[in-house]
Amino acid sequence: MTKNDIVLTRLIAGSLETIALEMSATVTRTARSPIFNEAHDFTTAIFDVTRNQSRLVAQAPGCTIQLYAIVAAVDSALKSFKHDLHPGDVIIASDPYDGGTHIPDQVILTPLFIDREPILIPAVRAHMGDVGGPVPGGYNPRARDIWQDGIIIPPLKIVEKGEKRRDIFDLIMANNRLPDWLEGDLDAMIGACKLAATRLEKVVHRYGVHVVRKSLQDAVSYTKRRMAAEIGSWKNGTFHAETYIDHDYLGNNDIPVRCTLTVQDSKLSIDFSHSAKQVDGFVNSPLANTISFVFAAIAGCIDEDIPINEGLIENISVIAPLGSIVNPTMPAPVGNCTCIPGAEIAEVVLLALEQCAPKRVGMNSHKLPLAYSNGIDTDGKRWVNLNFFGYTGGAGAAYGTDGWGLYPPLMTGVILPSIEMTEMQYPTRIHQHEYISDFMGAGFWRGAPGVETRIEYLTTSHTNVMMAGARHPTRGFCGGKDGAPNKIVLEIDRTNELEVQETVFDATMPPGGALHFWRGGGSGWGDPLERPVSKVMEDLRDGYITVEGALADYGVVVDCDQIVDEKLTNSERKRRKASH
Amino acid sequence: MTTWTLGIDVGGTFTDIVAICSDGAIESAKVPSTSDQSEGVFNSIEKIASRLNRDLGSFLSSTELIVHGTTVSTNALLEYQGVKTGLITTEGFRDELEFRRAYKESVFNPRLAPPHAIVPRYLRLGVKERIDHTGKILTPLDVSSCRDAINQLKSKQVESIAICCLFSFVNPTHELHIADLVREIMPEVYISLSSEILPEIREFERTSTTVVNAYVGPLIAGYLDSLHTNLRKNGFTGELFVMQSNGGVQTIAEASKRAVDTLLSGPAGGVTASAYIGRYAGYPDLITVDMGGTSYDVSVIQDLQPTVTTETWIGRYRTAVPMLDIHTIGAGGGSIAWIDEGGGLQVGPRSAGATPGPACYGRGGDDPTVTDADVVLGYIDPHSFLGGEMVLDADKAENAIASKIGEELGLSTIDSALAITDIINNNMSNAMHFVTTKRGYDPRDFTLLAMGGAGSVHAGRQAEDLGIATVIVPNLSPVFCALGDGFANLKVTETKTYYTRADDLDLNILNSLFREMELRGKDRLSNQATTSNFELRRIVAMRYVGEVHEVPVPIRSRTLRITSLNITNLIKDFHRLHEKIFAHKDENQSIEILTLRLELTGIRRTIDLAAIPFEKEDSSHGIKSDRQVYFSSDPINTTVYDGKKLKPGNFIPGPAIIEQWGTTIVIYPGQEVLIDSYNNCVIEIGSAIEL
Repeated sequence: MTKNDIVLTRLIAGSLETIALEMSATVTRTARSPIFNEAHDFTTAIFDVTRNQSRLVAQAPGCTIQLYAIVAAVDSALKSFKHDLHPGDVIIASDPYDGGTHIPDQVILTPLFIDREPILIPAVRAHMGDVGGPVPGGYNPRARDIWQDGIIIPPLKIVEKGEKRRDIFDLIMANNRLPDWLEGDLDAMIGACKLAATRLEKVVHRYGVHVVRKSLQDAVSYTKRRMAAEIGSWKNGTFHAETYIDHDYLGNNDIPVRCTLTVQDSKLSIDFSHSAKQVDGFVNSPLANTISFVFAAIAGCIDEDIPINEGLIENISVIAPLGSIVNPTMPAPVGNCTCIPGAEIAEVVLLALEQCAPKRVGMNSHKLPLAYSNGIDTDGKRWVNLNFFGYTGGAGAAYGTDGWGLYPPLMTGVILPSIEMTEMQYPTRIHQHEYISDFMGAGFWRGAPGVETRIEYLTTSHTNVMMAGARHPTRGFCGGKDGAPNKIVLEIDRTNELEVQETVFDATMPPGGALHFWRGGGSGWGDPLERPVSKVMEDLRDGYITVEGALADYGVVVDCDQIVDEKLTNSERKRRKASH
Repeated sequence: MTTWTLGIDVGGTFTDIVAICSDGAIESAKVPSTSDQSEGVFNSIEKIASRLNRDLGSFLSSTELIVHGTTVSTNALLEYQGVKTGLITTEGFRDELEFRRAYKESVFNPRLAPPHAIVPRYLRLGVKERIDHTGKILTPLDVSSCRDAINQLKSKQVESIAICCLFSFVNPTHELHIADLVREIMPEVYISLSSEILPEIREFERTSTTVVNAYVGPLIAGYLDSLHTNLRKNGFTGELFVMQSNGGVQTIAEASKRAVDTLLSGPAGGVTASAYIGRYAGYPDLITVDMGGTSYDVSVIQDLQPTVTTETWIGRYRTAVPMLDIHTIGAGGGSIAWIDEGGGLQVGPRSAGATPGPACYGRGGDDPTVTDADVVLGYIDPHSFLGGEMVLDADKAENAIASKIGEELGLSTIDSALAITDIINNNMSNAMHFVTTKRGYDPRDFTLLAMGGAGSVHAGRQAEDLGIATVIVPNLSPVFCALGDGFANLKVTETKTYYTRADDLDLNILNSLFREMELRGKDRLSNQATTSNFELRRIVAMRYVGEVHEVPVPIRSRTLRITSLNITNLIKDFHRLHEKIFAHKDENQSIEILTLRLELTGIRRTIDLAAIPFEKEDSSHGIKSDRQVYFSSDPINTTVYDGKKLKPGNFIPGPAIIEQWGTTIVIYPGQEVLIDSYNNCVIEIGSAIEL
């Protein structure tokens, strides 16, 4: 290796990482809808292309579950336009059965041409506020086929040779409830891709195509080496795990997701063959979504400084039989896949990894009960509120740290809206948003406590709820306890309350009706009886747990002055360990 | 009689002083920083006094003004050494501080630990009360639950209390009432009210800012009070001001109340000085870089105005008061080069710091650092470091690089050192690029201003990377923050949320809010005798309906009243600025207004730099020596100049090296340098590569 080999790889990879970050900053700042600039439900990435084969070479930390899906989508877009790609073209795509996840996650990309050949492709994948179809926001628990999820977009040129295709834009906007937002968001994604293309062109001009290609190859090889070293440090063998989806919103309960994970030296294979067949409800996971969740789980198990690129994926194989819940056949509905069964797919992978790399697993906490409300404000305008406050929370523990804060980092980078801003913008009043004592998985490291939230609407409101994580809360690791279950009650009026079992659709509440959420706390890691008494006492002091919880979950005996009885505690802990 | 103004900046290693005489003379010095910062402050004053053959007392008695840049509050927050602090808030919402709107610094790393709880949950207490978004009281304050909460905090012996209720920025009644009760029950305690510290919408940002203020407030208040008393005892009768994070200075009374405004007290001086020097040098648009031992600070100055942000996190806590926008990355002279698990060469973010420091410091460090690479390549002369006060060990530098990098990678020591500098330069260039692009700027439109000891060794290369045409290394670069302290104007920033659609904007409300803010601002500046000359800037934070981030748009008019035509122009400016920052605008889209900001600057007597007439171009009188320097694998015999001897007008073609006390300037091949009439080095970059 010469000095240039070493330095140029670092320099070019560093430039591309910065460009991906700049794309991300541009999208955050220029998009219209809160799901982009507040919830950060998107990711930006750069691909290189050789003979119509694309390869992920740089990615900004964004929504981790978009991680792999963007790879599959770029491949399918390239395939569609093989010989019909031109400088200045911008492609949009969102087809769950061709490299997509659920329909709201759309991809925008533009190829950078050098000497009449596409060399690099910046791409953005993002969750759009609305995608047409029967239900605002795209989550339709009544969907029985993919067309009831929303409008599928196969790869289309929305900008052709630099000219915006008004006809395509009009078609998309005509089928959307929020056309102003959507066009603003698409413009932001296109703007970010164009900005990146300009920057990338300068990089190529400075170093030359050959050097750039070689350096990117080196960068991918580097990640692959790091990944191989990581997998190599895990225990060799075959490990089985299973978990269950609560239901498919059609009364079918306890749907299994199973994986067989094999570590062989530096290779990893993950086989979902024994999982359930596809189901009628909208909890099927198209292949790209399944692989995305596999990688989201694995991305949390490796060193943070490993650059994210195709090298991460190369040593890992995924088997997902066609016709199963993790790779359904068209036209099964898939609308909820990025929550359920995405959460269970990641969970089952972590449960298998627990057996070969216990110190790497943690933060299993994606079982979101979604609840969307809408209504008409006093000024006659329709509002749609995602009730983010109610279902974010439940961060699980990981080796080395208790779960903390609200949402865990494994799955997304969501930023909650502000309570005050929400009350300014919507006819709503939020009465509570606070941790619940004793409502988490205990462990040597415990999960973050659950969160109780009460959201009142001041006008008539209509709500859809999709429960999750109630029958099967998130699972603990290495002796850590499972997380707490989710619960949602609709307080319709003073006398009527409705606890949501699986789902409610368009539940109408008069002014003053409220949604009451108990978001379950995160799961634990390690044996709670080993948790240092001082930490248990701190939790007690802070009200994360109660005196009863200290005894029940940790075997710590506390007297009425909140002073620990060491003798009783020791014997209690000893007794319980013996009875394990 | 001549009088003096002192700018004194406390840094991690040195305390810098710049003394500006009323006759225009400028003196500067560096002394080691001390753990009680005021000791170093006195030492620095003594050093200047003795240089002027004065005793401390007589010098202090002729000192009119001392402006102090201090890291007391910054360190207290970064090291979590603040006082025991309680929070009283609306019942049902005491965990918002810990929720952080779900923000986590890393999205990929589940093992990331939580930030230290500066107010643990048992000291966060909710009280029954609720006000809605219009200011209407929905639930009156329950005084008895309040007393309970306060008594509970009293029993836990908190020294400071933050009070933050929902919607207090619309109606502060309840917060004021709680504060009265606190004063009654705990008369000694330090109190921070969110409606005073940051009367703006968004409860998490307001709470966090108020809590940070409460956490560090008693410490900075105590420090300033004792420093002031000591100065008085030693004959000082002038005024003591503190540099604030917004780039202006403030009285110690105000700084003690608003500790959160002093978190960037240190680096703010350098940015302020940059704008000042930029005016004289003739470059109004600057990217300033301050490269120290462990960190690299980047900020942007446009049209002589430093960029201000309200999106800062310090010590993992959110502080939403307007501050100079200083972006820091972990890269400096002490950054360690290492080979990672995959066999890749990395530089930083780990740093050898001041102890043990780079290998060449000979203090036991054996990790190769950027400074070691600089020594090996001949950029830094081991015998001229800090004016020869510290001799570096070139052999140790070479050994560290050869054994830990060269042998691992199979590279020669020189190539290894070049690889280290290439990578650190690239890391820094990327940071600069990100900082500018994120705001919609193009770095090529800027001039690079390098300050701090290590900055000017690398600035020339970074400018080439970024396509920047000119680099300025200012005279007094090593004590630049202290210089900025000495020059800075007084400044207070007032903010207030006024949430309305632009179409529904009520000019009477707008004018009366700005008027109130102006009066409050003037009141905050009334406790000083330095100036009564105030300059007013009014800024409106606006956005398209549906957006989350606001654009601060200045109202151009500084007249008494804001008229409807002013607003028409403001809206035009908003569209224009929006397009500039975000690459799109939509003139048909509704606009909403969120927050009003008023900056009141108390203009101090301007200190004018005197232009020195140009001398000849010939710079041979400044030649000190020559040495082999590696700009690439083949060394070039390079002339070394003594910076002290260079005069305005002198011209030096690159490659060359200029050494002066506290800093080394490297002029790379193809570049040239001219000394301007204020003794700044102006480096022109010939081979600017566009990237």
